Amino acid sequence: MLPIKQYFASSIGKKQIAAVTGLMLSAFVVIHLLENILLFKGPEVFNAWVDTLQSTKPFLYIIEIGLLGVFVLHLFTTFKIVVENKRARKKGYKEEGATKILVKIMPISGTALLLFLIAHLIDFRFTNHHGPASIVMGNDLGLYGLVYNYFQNIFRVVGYCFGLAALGCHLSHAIQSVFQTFGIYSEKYNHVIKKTSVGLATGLMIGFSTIAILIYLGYAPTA
Amino acid sequence: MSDKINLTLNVWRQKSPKSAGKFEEYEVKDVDVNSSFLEMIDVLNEDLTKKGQDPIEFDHDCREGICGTCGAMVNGRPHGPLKNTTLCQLHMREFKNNETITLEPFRSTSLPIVKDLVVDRSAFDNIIKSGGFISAKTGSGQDANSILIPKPDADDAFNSAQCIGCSACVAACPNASAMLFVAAKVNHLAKLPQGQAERKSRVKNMVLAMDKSGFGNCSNAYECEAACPKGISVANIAAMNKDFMKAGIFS
Amino acid sequence: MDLKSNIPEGAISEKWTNHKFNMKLVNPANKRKYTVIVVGTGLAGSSAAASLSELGYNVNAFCFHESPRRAHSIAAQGGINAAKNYCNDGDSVHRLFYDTVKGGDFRSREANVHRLSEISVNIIDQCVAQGVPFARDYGGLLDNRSFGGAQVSRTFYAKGQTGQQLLIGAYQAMMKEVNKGGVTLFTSREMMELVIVDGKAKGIIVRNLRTGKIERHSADAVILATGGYGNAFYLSTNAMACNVTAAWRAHKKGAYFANPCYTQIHPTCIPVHGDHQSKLTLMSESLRNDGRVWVPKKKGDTRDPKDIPENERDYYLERKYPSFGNLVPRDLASRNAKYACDEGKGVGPTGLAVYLDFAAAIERLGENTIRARYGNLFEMYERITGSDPYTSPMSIYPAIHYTMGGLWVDYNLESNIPGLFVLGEANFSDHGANRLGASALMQGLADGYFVIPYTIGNFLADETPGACNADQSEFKEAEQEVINRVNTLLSINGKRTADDFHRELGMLLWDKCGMSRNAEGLKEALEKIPKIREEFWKNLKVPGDSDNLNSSLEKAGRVADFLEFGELMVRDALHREESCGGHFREESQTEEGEALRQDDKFCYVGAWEHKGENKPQELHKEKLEYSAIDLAQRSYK
Repeated sequence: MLPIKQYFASSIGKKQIAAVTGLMLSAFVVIHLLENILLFKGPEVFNAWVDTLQSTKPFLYIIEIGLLGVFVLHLFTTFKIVVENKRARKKGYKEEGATKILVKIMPISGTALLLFLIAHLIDFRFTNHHGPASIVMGNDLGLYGLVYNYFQNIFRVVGYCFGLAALGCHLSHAIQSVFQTFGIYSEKYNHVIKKTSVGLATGLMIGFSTIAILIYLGYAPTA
Repeated sequence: MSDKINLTLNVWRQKSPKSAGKFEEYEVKDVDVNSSFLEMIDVLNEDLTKKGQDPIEFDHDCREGICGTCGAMVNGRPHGPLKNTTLCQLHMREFKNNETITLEPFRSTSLPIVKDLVVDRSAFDNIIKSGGFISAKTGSGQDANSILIPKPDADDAFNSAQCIGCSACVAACPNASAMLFVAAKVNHLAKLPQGQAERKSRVKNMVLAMDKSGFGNCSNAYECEAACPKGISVANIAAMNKDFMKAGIFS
Repeated sequence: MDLKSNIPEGAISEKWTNHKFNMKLVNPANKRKYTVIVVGTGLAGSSAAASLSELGYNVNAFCFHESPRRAHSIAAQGGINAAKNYCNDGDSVHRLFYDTVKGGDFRSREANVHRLSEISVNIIDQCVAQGVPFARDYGGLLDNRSFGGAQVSRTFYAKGQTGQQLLIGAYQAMMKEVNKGGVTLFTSREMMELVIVDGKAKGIIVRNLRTGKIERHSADAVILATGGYGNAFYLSTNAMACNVTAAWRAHKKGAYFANPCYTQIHPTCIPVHGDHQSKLTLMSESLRNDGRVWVPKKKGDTRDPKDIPENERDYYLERKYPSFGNLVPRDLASRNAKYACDEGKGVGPTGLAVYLDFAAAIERLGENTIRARYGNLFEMYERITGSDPYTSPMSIYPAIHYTMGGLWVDYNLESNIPGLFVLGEANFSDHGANRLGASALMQGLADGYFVIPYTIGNFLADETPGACNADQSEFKEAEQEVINRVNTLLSINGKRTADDFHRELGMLLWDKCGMSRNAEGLKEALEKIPKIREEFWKNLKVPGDSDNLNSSLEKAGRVADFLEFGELMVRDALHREESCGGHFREESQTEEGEALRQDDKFCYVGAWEHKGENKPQELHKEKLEYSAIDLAQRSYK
């Protein structure tokens, strides 16, 4: 056994932290998508769910802080990994080989994702859920209204889709990586793992984007 | 059979570990397509020497693809375009007439450039030194057939043990990680009953030694596997990750 | 000086056992006070360094490669012999001993070979314990194959990479000792001179190939495990950097060089394709199990082999040796290929190749069976030549592969210079005039793992540890000699490269002192070599400086020594007026044109003493006596 600190400072330990935290964040994203689907059940159902969540307040904060912690840990670890990787080859090649694009842009997709997330939190988490931005056809529809109004703007919809594209790219490599990082490798099932990873990432990307687009196109109920 | 081609070589020249290097262009005429890549450089070097210029330093020895000494980036690929082939086994028939070839050393901070295309791979020896062995003193072996090893395990161990330590994996990795090299050795010995006694300490010590040498982290790009002239699989890395976890946390 | 072989008394099978008991031991507490230098980290060097360090000695291991794992032992393909008799097919220590002495054409030292056969079984045990992944059968037991025409299956192997796996095993064993501090590793160091103090080998001078620094290293004993000199021929299956320098420097300091003309020529190599060829690649001998060797009957026939009808082909091995056919020993297969080409029947662009045809085997067994047997070899052949052996016959030609000669050593592997031990291919003792397949790996590891750990103790027990230090005048003088030589090489500034001279020497040696030799040719070579050497020292061009990596300078130093050594090789060949083992002396043949050994005149080891620069060496003879086996002529008809 290694001292915990030393274990998680090792290259493999760091990878495992990144993998576990990434997996947790992915789980959150899946739940988030399920919640978003509630939008199509109308403002009452959606807001009722939001209220239910709000009613668990101290507990909700704990979850939020936990998520934030996981996120910061993921960010910190991957940042460290990227810095070390850069340091491991200071001068690059004149002619680059054909590294898979999804792998190559992991830091870029990750950074894009970070920016998107900040914007997303400002837009939805830290904006008052009641008020002018929530009023749809004269009714204050709470968070539902906020979302609804937000996606009436084509630029926001496009920006949102870009953010999700980053998520899709990031996760399609990340999810399969988790298996490798924890030593799950089999000639027989590798293609399944790979397809699942890409499928899940694409599913999340399309799921979230479609919801935004459908709202823009007016498919979401307003009452 | 005796076709000749002309080539332009764009070669990294660097006088010493500390000096700044740069690319130099060389025209090579009438290259026999049946000659090997290194023989092509031999001819160029012979010409350079006669012209009073410094020949290109490159590492090589057995020229049979087994010693692991040779290696350079040929058009951005370690050991060139052919799969499962070291640079010395690459032949000029793989290139077209009037092609420009970019030739660069393997680049990574842990395997610094010594001169031109030659790099210092002593970091690899240090990693092996840290635990890449079975401590069986000379004379201590029992009768060889008293240890039964199922054929699939023996074959697996052999496949991992084929690593020639050329460092193409590090060169190919976008992060200059040495995981495939280390994993191949860890797995060679972990697959064998003889290797069990030191299995946990071995994987811990070797991974820590690897980290200490300053190699990058694996990001599962699998470029190492594609570049490995011995076709060593990234399954080794997965197995090492698991072993390291078992040894580091669960023991 | 008399050559004392120091063979122990007693029956052949008792000698080593008795000797081990009779040798002096060094007290365990005192061992750490002794320092041993090991030069070379191939099978013999690495295994010796590891084993000596395990005993407690301080070991300083040197190699000119950047890593000890690069040594050319790594390229051995076939396997390693051991008298385990796991196949229950009648093998025994005595049979391995018998086969090796007979295979060596009765020119090896009987007692050494017997010891080698005894130890062979321990080597396999040791390697398995270290984790060498030998081939296994489905029951999990070790698999064996018959190799090189042996009548029993005693060869252990790891696919076609046995040398690699054994070397990695020895390398790892050594690195384990480096980790413990018993072995200090000096990589990228080339031995440039041996240092003798009061008649004993006490150190070496090396050049750091990365920085150019000349370094002095002292010790209580020096072990050379520096491999063979096959590269004297320029083209060989040896690695590019293999050289004779360490052995030659020792020879010039007084060590006798034994049987330098004994070189082995491997029959199945990929032929030379052109002037710029840098080395030859060996194809495993196992190919002859299914391939048929032939040339066109007509001279200068340039037709595609497929267009040459059966009745216009000469399957000369099957014709001349009906009972062994294509499986005759290496020397016969090689020599007959040369004859065919000399007659103008050779094939390919250079006319220096014969066909090895698998068409009949593919027809009989199917392509899949052939692919299963030789798939990787066929692939390698196609990668190198661009021609597909499944559809068109392979072209092959013999090439220099191994050197049986080397520095003279006694039974303890000690040269005539006290404290200088020589192991592996660098010594002469075990293979006589011809080495059997899968015996080189066995000998390297036997010397390193199981002989030197005993015999060096016998020497060191009488030595005062640390009696010399590297600041003594002997070291400084030797260092100065090396510096002067390096500077001279750089200052000639002529017109020809070292490679150019090397190629000229190699062609000459191959032509006159290769597979088949005669007095006239050898005398001619003996006249030409000094002239090449003379021009070398006047017209050599070495680019660059001596203070950093300069492979041209390294090469020049090695070629300089080959140019001196080559002359000795020819001198030895000229004096040995018999055909034996790998060598066919044209004046010594039977009426049927087969090799004729002359036991009455040449049943001895020819050990040469250096007598000064540009002076002929003096021959000393160690008579070979055979007590356990009767001298007999080989016959493969």
